[in-house]
Amino acid sequence: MPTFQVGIPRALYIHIPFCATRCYYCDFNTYTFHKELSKVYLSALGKEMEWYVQGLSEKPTLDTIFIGGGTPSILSAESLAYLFNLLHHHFSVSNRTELTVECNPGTVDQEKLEVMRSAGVNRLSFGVQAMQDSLLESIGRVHKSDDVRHSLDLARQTGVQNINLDLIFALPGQTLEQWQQTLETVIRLSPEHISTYNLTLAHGTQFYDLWENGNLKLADNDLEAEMYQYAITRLTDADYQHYEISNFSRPKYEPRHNLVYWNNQAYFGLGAGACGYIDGYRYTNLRGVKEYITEVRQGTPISSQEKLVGRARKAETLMLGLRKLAGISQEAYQQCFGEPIDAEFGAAVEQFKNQDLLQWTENRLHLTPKGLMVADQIFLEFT
Amino acid sequence: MTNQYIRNYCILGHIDHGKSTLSDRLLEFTNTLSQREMKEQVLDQMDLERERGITIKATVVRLEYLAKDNNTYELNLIDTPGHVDFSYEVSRSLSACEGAILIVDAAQGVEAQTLANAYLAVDQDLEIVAVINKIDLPHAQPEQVKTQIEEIIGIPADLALAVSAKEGLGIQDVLEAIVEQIPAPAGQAVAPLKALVIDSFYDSYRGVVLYVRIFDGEVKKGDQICLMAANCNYEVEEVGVFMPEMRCVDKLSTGSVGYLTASIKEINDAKIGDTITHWDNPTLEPLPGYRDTKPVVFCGLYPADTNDFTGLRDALEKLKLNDASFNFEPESSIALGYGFRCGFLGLLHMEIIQERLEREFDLTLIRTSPSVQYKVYKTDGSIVQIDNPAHIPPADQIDRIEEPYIQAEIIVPSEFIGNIMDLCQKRRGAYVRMNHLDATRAQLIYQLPLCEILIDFYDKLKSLSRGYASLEYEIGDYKSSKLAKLDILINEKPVDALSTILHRDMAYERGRALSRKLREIIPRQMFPVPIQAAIGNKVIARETVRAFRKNVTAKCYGGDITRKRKLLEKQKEGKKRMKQVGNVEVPQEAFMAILSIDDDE
Repeated sequence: MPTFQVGIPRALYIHIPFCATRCYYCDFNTYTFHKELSKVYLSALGKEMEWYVQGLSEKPTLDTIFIGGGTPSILSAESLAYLFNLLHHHFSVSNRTELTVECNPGTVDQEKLEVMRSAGVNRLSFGVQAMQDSLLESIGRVHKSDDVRHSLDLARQTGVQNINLDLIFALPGQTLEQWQQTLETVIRLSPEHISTYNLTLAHGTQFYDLWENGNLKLADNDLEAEMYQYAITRLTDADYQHYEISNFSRPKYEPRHNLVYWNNQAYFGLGAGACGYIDGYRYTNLRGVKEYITEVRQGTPISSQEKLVGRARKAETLMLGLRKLAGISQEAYQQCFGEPIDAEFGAAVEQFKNQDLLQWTENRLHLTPKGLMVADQIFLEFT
Repeated sequence: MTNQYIRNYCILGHIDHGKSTLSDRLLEFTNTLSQREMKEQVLDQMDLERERGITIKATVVRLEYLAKDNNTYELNLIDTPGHVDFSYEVSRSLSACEGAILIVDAAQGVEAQTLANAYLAVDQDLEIVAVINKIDLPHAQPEQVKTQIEEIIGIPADLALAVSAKEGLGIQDVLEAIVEQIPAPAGQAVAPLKALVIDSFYDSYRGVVLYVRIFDGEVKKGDQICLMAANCNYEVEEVGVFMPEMRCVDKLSTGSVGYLTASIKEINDAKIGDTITHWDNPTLEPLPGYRDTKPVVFCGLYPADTNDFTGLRDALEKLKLNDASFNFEPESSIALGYGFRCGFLGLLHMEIIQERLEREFDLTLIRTSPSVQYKVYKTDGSIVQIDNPAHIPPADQIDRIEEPYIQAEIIVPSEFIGNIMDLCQKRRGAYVRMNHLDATRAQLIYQLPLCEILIDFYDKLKSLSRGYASLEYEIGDYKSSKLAKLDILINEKPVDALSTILHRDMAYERGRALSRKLREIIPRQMFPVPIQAAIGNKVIARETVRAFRKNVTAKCYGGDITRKRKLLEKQKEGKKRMKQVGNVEVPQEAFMAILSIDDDE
């Protein structure tokens, strides 16, 4: 039974804000990779870890760690080893800890994978996005579809047996057929987990600028819906459980890390632009790498934080919990807030129930298949 | 100073022909303003005037000029508004003058506004001093322009002055011409006071400040005066002149121009064109030409945020203090809530008021489609005047509807005559005549329904003539037309704020275009939304906004929950700004959709 209460987090996110190049759709906090800068950055990460664990009687025990980016796999084997040393030095990481590293196909090699494996990495997440080279090129990816197969083989050979592939649909110019083809190819690769993300047009991306000037045609809402529907049907058919809006996993391979977010549990967030959630405070670090490094030396790089209370916190809990297809447990909610969901949101829940968008099953409130398609519309009522 | 050393004049001309620049140069040359005080377009003080390069309110400035004859003259420059919407105001300003400088661009030549202005000046018996401006331009053709002035306007141009206001060339010649050619004001010093209200503005300390021209007699502080049309009595508190700042003087005497205050709180008591006289010893006859101006263009103005209703009312009241020519009264709309029905002298006037409300009072407004005032003759013999399409009686109670017409005068280069005639035809224009002004240009006269020029006519006119055609118009009579009310139904519910009145023959086309436009503007909702255009019970066009099939954010990157929540909050704010029509959320732009319909599409 997950609870929403927070103490010392048992989850950790580490941000590696470096990439070879920026993809056209990407607005993440990432910068061009410089080897020297990345080394200084890692040592700053060490400082930040120290800041969090100082004064604790023992190292915090972690159930799940996610090293994301950016492209963590762009770090050299040596740097990766350094990073894992830091991790083990400050935190208690066991072989039961889920330890994921985000990788880009083509940026991993035998040596890096060995370093990861021996440091306890037991899950890899690859940004595949699409399986057509032309499409990959058109969105600014540097890898080719063959790199995916190759990297995956390498990973399996090294002994990582829990692999996620990230996919994006509704890319500009992408046809339904191409999306279907991507899914087929990916299913054949048999990863333990697949994420399917609808392209989001974000401010400050190349795509956004093109679109604003009328030079980019986006998929229309109907095509997006068809692609999403297709993914749900096809992946479910292929024995993937659709457990969250964008996520599918083989039975027993639901990643703990994702669930921490949806269950409104606490996590450390380390690195430039990283977000964390401790003692009810959501905080965000400084985004700039140099600013982050400078501030870490003087104390904490946190640039903003907020603590939600009252309705806002209840709404957030609902918004997160409803992203899971299993929905949110009345019992857990009540434990946290001392009242049932209906106390605050009774009218909205009733309305959505009548519209067949929400449903109660075994004391859990969850989206219906229809509600899943328009979840944001529902979340709007819970803000 | 006796009135033989006074000259009252104005500067007339087509937009961008250099009126303001010439005024600036005259002020500079006579040291009315020091170099330090000088800025461009001195007389256009409102931001809007400066940006748009137009004059909205009349102003007066006194220049003192030591002429070549060694006498110092008082030259009162009356800066008049320069737009057809304000033609009555212009006519009153002109009647305060004995002469006019008619400025013509040496490269552009005589244009519609030049001609209309020249006629206005001739109507008022003004002595016209022709000034050909911008002679420094490489493509200036002063000789050709002289010919145009003689042939098109019909006034002698042998004395026309060649000037470049920008370069400061010929400025003294202009001043000399004012002294020599424009007559000194006539009028009897020993006679009952007879003064004209040229314009007015509201000053929070002094009350209404009247711009006045003294025709007979004199006025000073303490005088009991009467505003003849309003028939009310005030005691003069202050008289003065504009240098251009207000400077108090002992008295204003015959022939002079200046200001007068009398603790007038109500601008409606101080109407443009009214005559001021002494209460105890009144003049027998008021000055001719006074007219009560009536708005001809109407629209609803609604606060985008319904909480701003009181703010909008206060703002309208404040603007009204300075502008008696627009009016407003509360109205309500099912879709837009509480707002005001406002009447204006024309489209520009409407735009100006809206823009000032938004800028000076920081309001965001929704403006409904502009309308004219219709006369509805009902079957029971009664007549109702309707300026809001939503209030048209049911079709079976209507005998006929009359709408106001205008007489439009369009000057257009010969090669575009066909285009412009097509345009007028499409807008239900009736051809009156065409005058060939010279080898290259013609003047087209059309009778057009006023409502047909409210939307997009001027832009079309310009684009169909590569910018060369110019338009002037006069409001004419009411005529009976085959008019109908076009309703728009969103999700089966009629939306009052989207109703329009239009000619039956255009209903089908307009209904289709409007529903198509609305389909683009209204975002997808949780359910399909039919949009229908109907006349009476008959649906003439139908479109559907499809339901969105998917609306769900993919991901919360790296656990950035705060960002996700803020995005949702922003979306929620966006939803709040929409107007609720039944259970459909309609963006504000929808209510202005009709303004952006292109009939040719």
